[in-house]
Amino acid sequence: MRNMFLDIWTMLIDPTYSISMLGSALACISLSLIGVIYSLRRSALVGEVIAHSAFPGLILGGFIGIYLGVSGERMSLLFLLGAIITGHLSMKKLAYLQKRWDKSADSSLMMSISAFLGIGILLASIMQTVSPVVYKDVVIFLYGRVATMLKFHAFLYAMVTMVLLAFILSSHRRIKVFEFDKVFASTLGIGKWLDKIVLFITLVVVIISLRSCGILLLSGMMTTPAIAARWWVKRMSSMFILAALFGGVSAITGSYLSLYLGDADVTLPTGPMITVVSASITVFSILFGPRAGVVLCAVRRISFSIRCREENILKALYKKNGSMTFKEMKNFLNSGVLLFVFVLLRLRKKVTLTDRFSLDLKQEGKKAAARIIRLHRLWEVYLFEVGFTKNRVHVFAEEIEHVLTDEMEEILVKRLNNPTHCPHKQEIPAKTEVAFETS
Amino acid sequence: MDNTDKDYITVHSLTVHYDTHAALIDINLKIKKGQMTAVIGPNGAGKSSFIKAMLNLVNKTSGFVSFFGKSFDEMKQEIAYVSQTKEIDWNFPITVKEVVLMGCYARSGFFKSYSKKDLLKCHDLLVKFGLLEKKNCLISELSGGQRQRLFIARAYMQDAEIYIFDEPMAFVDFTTSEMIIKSMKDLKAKGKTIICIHHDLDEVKKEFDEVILLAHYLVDSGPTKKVLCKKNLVRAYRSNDSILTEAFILSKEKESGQV
Repeated sequence: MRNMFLDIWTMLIDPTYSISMLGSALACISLSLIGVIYSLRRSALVGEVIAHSAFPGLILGGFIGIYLGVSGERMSLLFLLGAIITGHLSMKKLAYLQKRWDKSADSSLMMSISAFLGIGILLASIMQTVSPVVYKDVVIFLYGRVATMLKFHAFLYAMVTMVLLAFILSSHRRIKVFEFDKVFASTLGIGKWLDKIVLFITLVVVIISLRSCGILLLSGMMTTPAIAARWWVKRMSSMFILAALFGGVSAITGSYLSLYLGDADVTLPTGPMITVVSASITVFSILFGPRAGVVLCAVRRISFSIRCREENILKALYKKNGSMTFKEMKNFLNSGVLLFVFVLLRLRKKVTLTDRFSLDLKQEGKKAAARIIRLHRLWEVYLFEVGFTKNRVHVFAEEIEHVLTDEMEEILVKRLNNPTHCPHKQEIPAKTEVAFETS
Repeated sequence: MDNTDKDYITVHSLTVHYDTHAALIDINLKIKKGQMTAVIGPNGAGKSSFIKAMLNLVNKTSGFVSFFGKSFDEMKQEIAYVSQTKEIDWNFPITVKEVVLMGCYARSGFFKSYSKKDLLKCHDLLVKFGLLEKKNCLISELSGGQRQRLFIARAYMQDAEIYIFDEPMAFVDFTTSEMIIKSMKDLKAKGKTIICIHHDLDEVKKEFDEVILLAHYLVDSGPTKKVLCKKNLVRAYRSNDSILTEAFILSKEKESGQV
């Protein structure tokens, strides 16, 4: 792992690689930033449409280049121009189809994607016979490659990323209002031009990124960092920052892997590699993200169930007013050995071990148990007051006692006029006997 | 334009039609300044279109609206609009407080940071609409009534002269609708103009000064008692005037060459 970071570092400062690494990182950062806007709009496929429809434009640009007899940077420029023109056309077509068909956004998207890609592939086969050299250059765009990136490309990426950053920094409030509530935005008089600027920037970003991410997988780069970011943060501005970070990291790691894992026999295209890294980040976020991450939820669930069992033991000890043997306790908990040991470990500060493998309550344990019983009986009183029958209240209180907080206890006490006995005529432990959690 | 126009929102021969249907046909009316005006009518009578056309949110086929003698663009800052909450993506990553503060943008633009006064006003509104506890929550955590109150709080943050509501009482409970009506009365006391789409005729009779009764065309408008007579209501709610819109659509379709 450490070696890998060292390698990446040496590549970043090595001029032969630094350009391509930096270039792809910039491309992915811009894609991720744009991707945040489209993920908020829930129309992630727009990137896909532009990328696919750029393909015929690239090839047409190539034909013009052959006709004019240019090569190198000028050829790249022609590719880009062609791509921007067909990309723009497809967006126009998409807007028209969606307006006409209104109901089926999916079919409009698919029509745009497939029609343009179909034309592109047909043109590509003609290109193959006309000029195999240019054809080779064009095919790079399908999967993306960073190894042969020119300074010219890196410069373009840097420019576009700067423009995009300036745009987001200067109008993030407008973006927020517009993406959240289009109607409100248009009463404020923003909307029409903002939408156009976003579309234009998207077009440029997507098309210049084609070379490093590849037509087929570019939309993955647009969507995954934004989705991953959403699992960690809850504000739009933080989403932009985190998505850009994820995009940059995926690009550098992906480019490194594609350059180093591949050799003379196997060439590993960069686009898929970057997408795989980025998708892994997303999966990791879904599992471990603090906002409803799968693992975190499981941990919380298990710790809550342990807490319930712990409190139940304390309660049982308190009610028995003395000790309980391990066996009794295990039967009482109705749980496996592992969970039982876990609960015992958690309880070590509140109980003492007496001989014959049994437990006794310490002073602290007594207070904690009194708290649970107090909450239980208060809840019973409350339920009884709102109209539940006496024999029903106990079952509900068994569950609620574990989740009631100290503030809720105060509200209950106030509302019920500080009751002393539960509906079953049992005494409610006084507040002074009870240990409160300092939360 | 005569001088009395300064006290009225004036709607001149307003017509709106969409691709597939006509929403409003030749509406002419005046809305008095500083009054609570209700817009009523059966479902699909063009109430929302009426409001949206006033706010330039839909294209008018013909006609124009002037606000106290000025055009919409001149008065934009002075108009606050509370849209229906169902049109929003409630999973958007934004907090309650942020939404309320959006109301500032109408006046102070998008670049200024919030002034102390703005933050104080935001706090007061959060208290007034019972949202203070939720101020740092994501809007996805709000209930239906809270969502409606949030939108109204944002409109009040705008500190406008004219407040336009699109069915604020739809899908909210009694407490929330009481709260909304009370806040509207507070606005009226400050001399603001209120226009509100409403379905509950009893409440309209009780609380609103003026009524606009729509059924694609203007059935009647004016003081509540005058408009809400049996004759008008029968015309709006039970009559079979669909031939009017049908003929209108047909003429538009012929014009555009679709039939």
